[in-house]
Amino acid sequence: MSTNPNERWETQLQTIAGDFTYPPTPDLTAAVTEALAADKRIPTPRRLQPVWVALLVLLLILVSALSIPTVRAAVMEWLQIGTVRIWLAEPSPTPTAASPSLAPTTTPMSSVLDVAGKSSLLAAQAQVNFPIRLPALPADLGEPDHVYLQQAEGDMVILVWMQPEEPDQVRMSLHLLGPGAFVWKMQPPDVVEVQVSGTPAFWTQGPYYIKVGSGRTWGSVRLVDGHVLIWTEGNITYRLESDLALADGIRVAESLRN
Amino acid sequence: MNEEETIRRACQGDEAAWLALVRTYQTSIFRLAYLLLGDADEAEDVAQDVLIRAYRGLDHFDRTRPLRPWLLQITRNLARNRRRAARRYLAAVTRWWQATGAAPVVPAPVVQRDADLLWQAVRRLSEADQAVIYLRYFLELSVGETAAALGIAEGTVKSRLSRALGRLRTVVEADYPQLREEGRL
Repeated sequence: MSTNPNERWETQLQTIAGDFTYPPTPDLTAAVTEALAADKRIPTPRRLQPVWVALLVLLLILVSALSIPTVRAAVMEWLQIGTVRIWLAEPSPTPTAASPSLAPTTTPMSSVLDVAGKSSLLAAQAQVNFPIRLPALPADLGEPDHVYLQQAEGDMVILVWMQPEEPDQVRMSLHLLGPGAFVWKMQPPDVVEVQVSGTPAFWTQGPYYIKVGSGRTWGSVRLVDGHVLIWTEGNITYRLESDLALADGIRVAESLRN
Repeated sequence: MNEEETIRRACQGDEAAWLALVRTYQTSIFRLAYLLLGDADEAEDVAQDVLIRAYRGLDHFDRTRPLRPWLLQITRNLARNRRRAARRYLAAVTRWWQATGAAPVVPAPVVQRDADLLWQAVRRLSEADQAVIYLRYFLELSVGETAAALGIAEGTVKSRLSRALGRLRTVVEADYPQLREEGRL
């Protein structure tokens, strides 16, 4: 045995810990199999939601309008998906003098917590009229560390997960914008059209400003760095902020569960 | 069949391959959950949830890496969430007791083995200290596996262990004289 007292202590600790008696391990095969089978039996609704009918009509109008050069120049100033409008050129109104600079930064907790409305999953779910769905990926994610409920001309739920080993750094945030909520994103450097579950989505890369609220009253203005995936399901618009690559971001988006 | 091949088959829908993985790792998952939560029923619920989430994410798992540390990483995070919810519930129950003037029932002490006393002492530490001690000493993971399960470098595991053991020693020396007797610890 080692003469070093610390090593001896550690060895004795290891011996005692190895003697620990656990309750019998339950056989989880049946329960897990049953749960996964039930998961597969719930089909994802595939019928075309009214919002997509409206978007298809809008798309047809846009395609026609884009054949006219002057109209084309005006239309491509912004893109919209769900309740999120992405300005590609500088819009009016412009950011206020109090807004932060565009120097890229990581997303410390304080910038996320600039939003008001600290809540909990249970309390937020009780107040909104849409299901607060959580991502099943990454597999070690668990429930959000912080939940916020805001009004942005409609209900907006913000779910925040912190880095496990760096509790003051955001790992990922998911915004759920209910009917009527409105968000403007201003001049992200890159906007790419992608798909989530086969439906149109946008992928943007920061930094850029985000304004929440109406054209007259802004709930909050803040700088976002990192990647954002925006998509809709039914009448809910989702924004996923993270440093994930596009393919991983799409997998997370497609893993939402009740 | 090696683990990488078993995972590949499980991802392709081979139920026998998937169940083989469940049987291989359910004990480690359950035991870590039990150590963190202190309740067998809660641990069973968490273990089941871990395996369901692992199945959903298995397709994206890097099969060149060992599976156990990844599963234990999920276990730790889900147990931590569960514990937070339990603390809120316990706080609510405590407030109710205080409001009614009733005293909570305190279980009578029983003769405890050294390992149970050690576990009690470890549970006095922070969640981060508990996790590294449970993984390294109770579940006997290697330094490399412990690092993978915690998502940190091996050197960081060693330094965290050193600090956690120092804090554990303080707790044992102050409050667990039985463990100090006869040089047990």
